[in-house]
Amino acid sequence: MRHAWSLTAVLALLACTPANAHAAQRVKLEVSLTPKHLGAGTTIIFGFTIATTAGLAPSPLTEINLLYPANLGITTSGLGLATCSAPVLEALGPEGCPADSRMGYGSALVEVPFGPEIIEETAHSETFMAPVQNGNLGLLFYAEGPAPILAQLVFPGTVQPAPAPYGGQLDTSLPLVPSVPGAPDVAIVRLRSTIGSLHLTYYRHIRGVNVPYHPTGIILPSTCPRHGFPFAAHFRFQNGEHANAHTTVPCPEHTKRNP
Amino acid sequence: MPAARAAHTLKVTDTGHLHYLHSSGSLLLEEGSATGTVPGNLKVRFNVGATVTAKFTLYPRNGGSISGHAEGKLHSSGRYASFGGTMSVKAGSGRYSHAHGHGGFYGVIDRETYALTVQTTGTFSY
Repeated sequence: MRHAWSLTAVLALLACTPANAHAAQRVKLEVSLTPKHLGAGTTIIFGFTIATTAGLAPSPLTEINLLYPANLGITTSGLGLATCSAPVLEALGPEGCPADSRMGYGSALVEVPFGPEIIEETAHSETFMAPVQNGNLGLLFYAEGPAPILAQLVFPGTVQPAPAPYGGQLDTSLPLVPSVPGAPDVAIVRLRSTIGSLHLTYYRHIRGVNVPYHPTGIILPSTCPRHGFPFAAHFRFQNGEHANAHTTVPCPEHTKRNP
Repeated sequence: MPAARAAHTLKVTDTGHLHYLHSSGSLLLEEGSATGTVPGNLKVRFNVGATVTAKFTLYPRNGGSISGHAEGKLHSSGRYASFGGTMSVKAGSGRYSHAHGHGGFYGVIDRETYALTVQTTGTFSY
């Protein structure tokens, strides 16, 4: 994990007194599948918004467990045909990872409390296939924010078993990102990210030439769960609070549903 | 009066080379040939999710069938994902109608073509 103070952050610190109050968090989870054709490849687009009852910056998020429906073919997706390691990602950034290790991308809106003010920053994120950890599929997340907090973060996630009606859960522990001395850590308030083939290009090595292709994506089952595809998420915050959210992606119209 | 029959017990090491037939989400239906102690044709229904589970039926060349299930974890990812775990023989037909046993199962799947190589080792009786 790398951090650096930007000039903006230092000037902001000089101008403000720190605030560290956090209020109870409310979380909204949003998920869509693009395209949504049973039996075909798709991209999971997921996002969440964290709000507080008092309009203050939320407590920094420290853990997310995203539960996804049973029978979603992540391992059978043809995504993550190569892997990237944390040392490579930390040293070289996303460009250092093989193109075929990319699993998705996204952005996060974070809030940085500077005294009475809350400054917003948008960070870009990318997701990569990582080596298996203790028998669980591993992922690596890279996030980079330009200003006022210049930070490049690399943090891992693993795909763990989950109880029905879920097929697995993506567990991610997020590192705390300090803002300025004496001020609260940076807090994520909104995230939107993909896991799937949307806008990804992979390469096949054919007769000495790298031939680009569009990977299939996460394979949807050929039948839809009776009430749609269920997703849920558990959130843990720095102040010890938890929040849960769930949503369902409706079945495509005129398709077979499980009894 | 049915004739009494002595149980046979075999130490088995078989390797299957399977090709893709059909998929639905994380489920893969594959079939191919098995070579080793009990050679024959092998059909496997894999669920490659957070864990790897499989239901298999082996149709030995000398008749009958042997069925069971297996469960394991991923050992590596990337294009060739390897896995390993345990398997149980639970049922059979014909000369293997009393088949039961257990052992290990290991395999590698080509995540681009879904071609699968799986090896089972263990002991079973029939």
